[in-house]
Amino acid sequence: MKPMNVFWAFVKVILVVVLLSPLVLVVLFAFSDRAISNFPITGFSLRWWRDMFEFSSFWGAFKNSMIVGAWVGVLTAVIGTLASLGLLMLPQRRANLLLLALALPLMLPPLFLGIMLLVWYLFLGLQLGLMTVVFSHLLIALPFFIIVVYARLQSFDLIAVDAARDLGASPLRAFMTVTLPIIQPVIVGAALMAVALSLDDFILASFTIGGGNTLPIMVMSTLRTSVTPMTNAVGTLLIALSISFMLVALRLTRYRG
Amino acid sequence: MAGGVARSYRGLSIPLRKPAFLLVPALVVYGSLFVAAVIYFFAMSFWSVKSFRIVPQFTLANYHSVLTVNVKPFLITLAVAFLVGMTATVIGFLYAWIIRFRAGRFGSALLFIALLTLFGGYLMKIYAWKTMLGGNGAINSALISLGIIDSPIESLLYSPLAVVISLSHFLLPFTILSSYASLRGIDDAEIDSARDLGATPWRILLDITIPRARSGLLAGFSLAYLISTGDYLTAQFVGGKMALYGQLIAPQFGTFFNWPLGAAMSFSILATSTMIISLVAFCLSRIGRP
Amino acid sequence: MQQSGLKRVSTMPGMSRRSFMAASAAMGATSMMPNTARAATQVNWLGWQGYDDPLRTGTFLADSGIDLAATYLSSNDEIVTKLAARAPIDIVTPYMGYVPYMREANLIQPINRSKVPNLDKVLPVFLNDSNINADGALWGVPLSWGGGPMVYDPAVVQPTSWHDLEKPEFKGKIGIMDEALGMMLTTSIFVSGADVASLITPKQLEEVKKYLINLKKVHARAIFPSYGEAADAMARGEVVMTLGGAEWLPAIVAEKKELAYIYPKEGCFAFLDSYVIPASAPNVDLAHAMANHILTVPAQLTLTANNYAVLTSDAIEALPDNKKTMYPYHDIAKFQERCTFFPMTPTETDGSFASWPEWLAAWQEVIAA
Repeated sequence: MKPMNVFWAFVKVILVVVLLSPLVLVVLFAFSDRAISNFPITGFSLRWWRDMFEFSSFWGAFKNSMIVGAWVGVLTAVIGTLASLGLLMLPQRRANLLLLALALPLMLPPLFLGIMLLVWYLFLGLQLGLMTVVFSHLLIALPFFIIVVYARLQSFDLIAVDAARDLGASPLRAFMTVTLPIIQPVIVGAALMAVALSLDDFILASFTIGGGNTLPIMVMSTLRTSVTPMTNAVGTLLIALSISFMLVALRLTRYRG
Repeated sequence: MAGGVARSYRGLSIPLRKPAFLLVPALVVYGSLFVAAVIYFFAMSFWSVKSFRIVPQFTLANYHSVLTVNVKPFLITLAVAFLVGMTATVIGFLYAWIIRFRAGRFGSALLFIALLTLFGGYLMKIYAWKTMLGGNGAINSALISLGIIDSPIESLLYSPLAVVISLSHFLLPFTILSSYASLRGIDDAEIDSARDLGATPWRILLDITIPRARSGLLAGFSLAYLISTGDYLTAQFVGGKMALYGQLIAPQFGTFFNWPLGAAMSFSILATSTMIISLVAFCLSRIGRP
Repeated sequence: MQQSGLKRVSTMPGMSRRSFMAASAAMGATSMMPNTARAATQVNWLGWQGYDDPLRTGTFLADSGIDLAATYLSSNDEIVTKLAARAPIDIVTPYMGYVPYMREANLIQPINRSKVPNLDKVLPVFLNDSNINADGALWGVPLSWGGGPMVYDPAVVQPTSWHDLEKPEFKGKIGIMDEALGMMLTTSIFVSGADVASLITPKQLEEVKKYLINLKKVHARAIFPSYGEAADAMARGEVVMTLGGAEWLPAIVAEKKELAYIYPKEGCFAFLDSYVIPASAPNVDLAHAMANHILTVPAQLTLTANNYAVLTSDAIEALPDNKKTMYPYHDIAKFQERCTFFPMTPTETDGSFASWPEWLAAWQEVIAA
């Protein structure tokens, strides 16, 4: 079996390298002192980070990304939790069907979704702004959230809840004092994943934002104009932010696949 | 796990008895934003534009245009999407399979890595590939220093190959997670007994593993395929002269000012993609049937 | 002045610009919902990176109570898309050529000249451009100008003509920009044989299209979505000559590689960029104030940081010597020998000339080929 083990180990390494190298390189060049994102790396430098923090539209974009992310997280958590609970009460088949329908926006190419929403907001007479971006992100964050929470909730053991009820607590009390604390980590975790998704999105945001930038929109404009690794710095920031949210989320939801 | 689930969660009845109430907010968001938008957009695909105004009168001209103009990029995009879908799904399945059957302790680490790459943003990944695939990029440099090639491979960047590589890589986390989700459900016992009965690894793969993983494989492939057909940024940055259909749709909402045509083009390629995916689903269901 | 009626133009201007500005105050802070209790008003600005720098000079923004929310373009389509969707934007900086088009589509509003007194300082050559003057009104406040030169790598080639792009030794090393107007107009200059490159017959348009398709298939390395991308490719040695570009493109990558530009002997187009006010602008007075401010000397001079050109009489006088030689300020006539401000191709014609939608359709064929 030895040669087979070596073979599989080799394959594993190749796959991991393929998966990670682009992101690793992005982060790597953000610290290089060369003005072009390429090898060889001649030295270490933080100048691109300084450039980024001093970039005129950076703080605005950062703030907008945070605001949108926060709204998306909160709204998704509330609406999504209610929906997950509702799904739990439905027969499995119907729940799955509904879930599939809710996931359709995830399946659409973001270009189409962005354009459709833009056209629709216009028709409704909505003022384009950060809230319209929040709505757009909700469409893709909600199914994601519900899928994760619904799956986790199905494996929960709520005997404790029944016990509380048997002891005379009203349904609402039982929910608040027993159920909620139990499912809270899952909810927070899934909400953080939703926030990470919102942070990373470029296409939907660029179509449905009124004025201003979010971080990905700013990345795009620097990609168009600047060829310095400052773009890498912004990218690294985004990667760091979304990955840290995701890490916390994983801990909270105890994700197993 | 059948319908009985609802009842054992009595504690969740809360003040509301019907599940419908809980689902209302989500459905309102979904219905008013998504469903309504799709319907409106679809209606728009039958309209036209005159002097910068949208004329809401029924016409099939847009769809006629789709069938006659820009057919070549339409077909090329479908083909590229297929290639990307296949590449992402196969590699994703391989990775997921390794996690499930060959990784042991490292399984969670590998899964974690896959999840990690889900985030980080679409744009940065395109940018990273542009750097890696160039004449002086990481890949060419590595190949040259290993002595495998003498001079850089120019066609790694600004080519259809670059588009396929970038898109497939972007979609890998999706296909990996999707495949893994269904592979998880395979019982070790089943595999072991098949092996005891003398089945070769290939047989096991074809008769047990793949059929079980079908939904995950299909979900991954569909996502990969659909995302590719709507892509308009990857080709712009690394595709060189190649234009994917998305690049022809986007300007319809910009300087070309023909939203109805853009809508018709969008639905056309979506519909065609769905048909192709159904075809793939059908073929997939044939694997493993003796 | 000279050329038959000094026609003006449009165009390309700015695909992408990069700001070299070092620290600037964190003016970018935005608030999501304008709070009436606050003194500052959020003003939305959509344009090319670097074109907002003139606004950040002195204490103008603070004095006017403006909270500037600038969004940078990555393509021209964005302006049209967002304005057509009635996004609440106060200033856009479009290609001049798109001003007549947007005017016809009712996407923009005329400038109230009484609110922009600094207009008097703009050189007449730019202020009277036919593309921003129509129906007896002014539709844009001029900001900067330039030509559409060929950018090349001087270590590899010394071109003199646009036809040098076809040289067999450079096959696969030519850069084309993903910009309909600039590319088609430039090609029209040396291929169509028409007197005015923006007014060509359908047959001539066909020739232009064929040339571009051939150039793309046989000679081009890639079609670049922006100047930044093109400059990047040239710095990496992937491209040695471009069909069109900007005078400041070499400056983007000056640190990495020396590039140069030239106005080939057949000629180029010239462009004018301006501040335009959308029809749906929520803060019209502030927009006018902003447009007025960009014509002050310090504001104009910020443009030189990116090697853009200035266009007011006093700013030109105040230019440092090294910047004065970058553009032919004191002999605009000479610049116009090579670079012409063309009038915009009409959106509707009686068939004698190809219309703008026909140009766009031809460009789509080039992209799709």
